[in-house]
Amino acid sequence: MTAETDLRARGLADRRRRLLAAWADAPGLWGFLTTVDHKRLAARYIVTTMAMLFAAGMLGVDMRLQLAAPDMHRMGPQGYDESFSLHGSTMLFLVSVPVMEAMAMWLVPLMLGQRNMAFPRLNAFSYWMYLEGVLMLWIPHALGFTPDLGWFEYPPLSGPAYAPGHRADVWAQMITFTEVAALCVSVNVVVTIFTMRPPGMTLGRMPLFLWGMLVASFMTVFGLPAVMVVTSMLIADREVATHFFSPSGGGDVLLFQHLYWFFGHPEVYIIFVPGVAFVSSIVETFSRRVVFGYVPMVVAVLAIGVLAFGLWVHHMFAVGLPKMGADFYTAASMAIALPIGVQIFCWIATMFRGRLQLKTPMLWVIGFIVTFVIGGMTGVMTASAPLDLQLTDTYFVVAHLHYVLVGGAIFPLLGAFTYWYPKATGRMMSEVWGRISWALVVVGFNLTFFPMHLLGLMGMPRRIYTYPAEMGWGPLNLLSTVSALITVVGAGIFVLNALLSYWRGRLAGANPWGGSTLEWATPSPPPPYNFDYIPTVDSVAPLWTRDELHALEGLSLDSREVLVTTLVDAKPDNRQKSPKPSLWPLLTALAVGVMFVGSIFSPWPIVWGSVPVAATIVGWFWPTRPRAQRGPLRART
Amino acid sequence: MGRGLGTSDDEKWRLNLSRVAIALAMASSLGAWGCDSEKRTVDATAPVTAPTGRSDPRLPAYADNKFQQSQGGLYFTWYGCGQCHSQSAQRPQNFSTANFRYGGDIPFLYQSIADGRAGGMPAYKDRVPAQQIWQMASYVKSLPKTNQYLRRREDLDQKGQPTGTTWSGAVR
Ligand code: HEM
Ligand SMILES: [Cu+2]
Repeated sequence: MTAETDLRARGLADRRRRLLAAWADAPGLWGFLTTVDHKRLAARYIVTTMAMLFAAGMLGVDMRLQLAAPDMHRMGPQGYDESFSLHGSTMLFLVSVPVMEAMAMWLVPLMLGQRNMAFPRLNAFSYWMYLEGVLMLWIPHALGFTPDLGWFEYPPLSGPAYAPGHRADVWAQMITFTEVAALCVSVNVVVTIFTMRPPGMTLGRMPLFLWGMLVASFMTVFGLPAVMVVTSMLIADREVATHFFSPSGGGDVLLFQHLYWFFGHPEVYIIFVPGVAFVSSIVETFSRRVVFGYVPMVVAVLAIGVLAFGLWVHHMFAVGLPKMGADFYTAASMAIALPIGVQIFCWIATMFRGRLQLKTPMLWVIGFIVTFVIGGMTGVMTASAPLDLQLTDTYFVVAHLHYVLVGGAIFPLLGAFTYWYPKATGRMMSEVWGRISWALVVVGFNLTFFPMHLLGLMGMPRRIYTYPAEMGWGPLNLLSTVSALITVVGAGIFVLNALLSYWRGRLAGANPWGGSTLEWATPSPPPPYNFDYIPTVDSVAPLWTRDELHALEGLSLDSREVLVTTLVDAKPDNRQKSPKPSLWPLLTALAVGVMFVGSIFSPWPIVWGSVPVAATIVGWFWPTRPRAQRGPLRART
Repeated sequence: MGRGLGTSDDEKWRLNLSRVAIALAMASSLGAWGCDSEKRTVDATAPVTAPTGRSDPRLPAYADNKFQQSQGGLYFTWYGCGQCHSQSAQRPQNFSTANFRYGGDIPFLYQSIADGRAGGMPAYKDRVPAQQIWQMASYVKSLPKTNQYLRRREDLDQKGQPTGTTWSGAVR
């Protein structure tokens, strides 16, 4: 008996040593630059987005200070324009979308019991592209030219005649960078979920989290090209005098708005659907039962994914479209409240029917439900074209958009951060400080943004740098600013809690919350190869239905191999070599970066810049395996 | 314009603070990349007099600044300059090449606009404030360097603007 366990333990130690040799990165800087480990890349992504969240949050506070009282002149209009443009663009393009992609990058392989994603090097390329997008916006800011036309830059205001210099180009090209980055991750997530599910995880047994990430990734793939195209058209108009958006030259300014919002509306759901995915995971774990209504939940998230592409015109009610069109989009916008309602009812039913534990992640979910429901209700109001004509461009919209973005995405994100923190670091965040930061942020947030609804109804326009005292907007603005400071204190406590817990938190163990999905079956933090054995699955909540997971043997221990399974039934199909670390993704990203940055100054970098891009891609795909000895592609002598 | 487009000192200080922090972290790689052409500061120094010559200290802020040029372009349209100086005008009135008869630097251009020239160029100094003449001079100075297609594109975007004494209403 003891001899047998001894033998087993030695076998396991040997297995781990061999797996580590195959999957570990090189030490030091070289490893940092070449890694293709999805956990490392995702962690890097998350840290960068958090730094951006901090920077853009500070800009928000700065604007609030400016608006605290009437007739303040600590900022001028130019400074205020730059502030809200940088704030909004950063929050949406450099924080919300990428952080959700990063969470998927970190969690999807773990939840699938896999050792890496389908295209590991694409992940690395994606991170470097994203980082270049960050620099594309913030280096010019550091040098004194910040885009100043808001987070959507409509022509003709952003066209060559009215937006001199390169500020608008900087904004447009930042979008190109980040969207290339997001597309890479999304394609990766889709392929990984479709072809790399563990044996037994049929489509019908996929955790709701994976459904959410799958739908969000598909939406990214369909939505983002529209914005990349439209910002490229804008750059072309500004640089080589094309006439896409020049009505007198045969173009159409509304084309910009249509293409922009064809992306822009789905984008809100690209941010929100992953939030929904976090919520489903958290609700399930802390209610101690599988989420009520699996099929309606899946159908609802699919419905959101489809409907979200049919709503974009509700951002354009004020441009004077035909009435019939406005009616259609009003109806469609209201229809999307149905699937979201279904989801909210299912979560409440789950909590009601389960044994609820109010740990910090669960508190964030409750903050989410309350806040998001308010944001949803103001959404239904602004979706109604006649009402929107009154509300558009007022603070009502500012209130609404923060309720849905912060309530619908940032709160679930902070919950998810707390929930998976022990998995990522091996330590727990403090519950006490977690609760304190939760209370401060949720209360502070609501007191900051609720008054803005009233300000909007009182007629305060958005994007103004100050207002005269006679308007009577002073008191509510002061309340809003003071509350923003409370929110910041709460957020500061959250960050400190996360930082300090990294060294001082209680050790977590593999499954501190008693979660049901596969990521909790491996040690915290997971080793570079993620799992000792490839697990198999027999339900949506595998860790709750079996005491010991069954495993699958047959992948190499000495080289990087992953398991590929079939699309619907997840039957083992073949073994796939997984690429090793490489510097090429970084070099390719640099080459693409030179081309993109150059192309806002002259069209020629697109021509000569494609040479280094081609060269690095050839390097990336240079075959390293020997030629096959069999089959149609065999080496012939 | 008034306080409108300016940047107060206090604001400069705060913007600078955030810029310095970021600049330290990131911009070291960029070396000296001059961005004066992108600046959008005016007013405190909004000129009320003509340039005094080629060493006028106000010149650098107008010479190569994209914002001033663009403002000048708008006034160029509004005051109807394009009626004689359009892209298809004949040689001396056409600004696509740098052969200005009376000199292509801001002080000379200013003089041409303010005081008029023989052969039909009217004097604008009694109708147009000094700062706007500065800006138009800056715009005219930039024209020979502007790609002809881009200039046409900009003009098309401004088609709905009033020009001189006529305004034909919004473009439909
Ligand atoms: C510390 C928390 C925050 C504060 C105090 C804050 C404050 C503000 C303020 C004052 C404005 C300008 C309103 C105007 O003048 O029109 C604004 C705009 C905006 N904010 Fe926030 N915000 C915060 C967090 C966020 C977050 C987390 C997001 C997104 C995830 C976000 C997205 C936006 C967007 C998209 C705009 C519109 C920008 C534009 O008009 O182009 N904000 N925010
Ligand atoms: Cu929308």
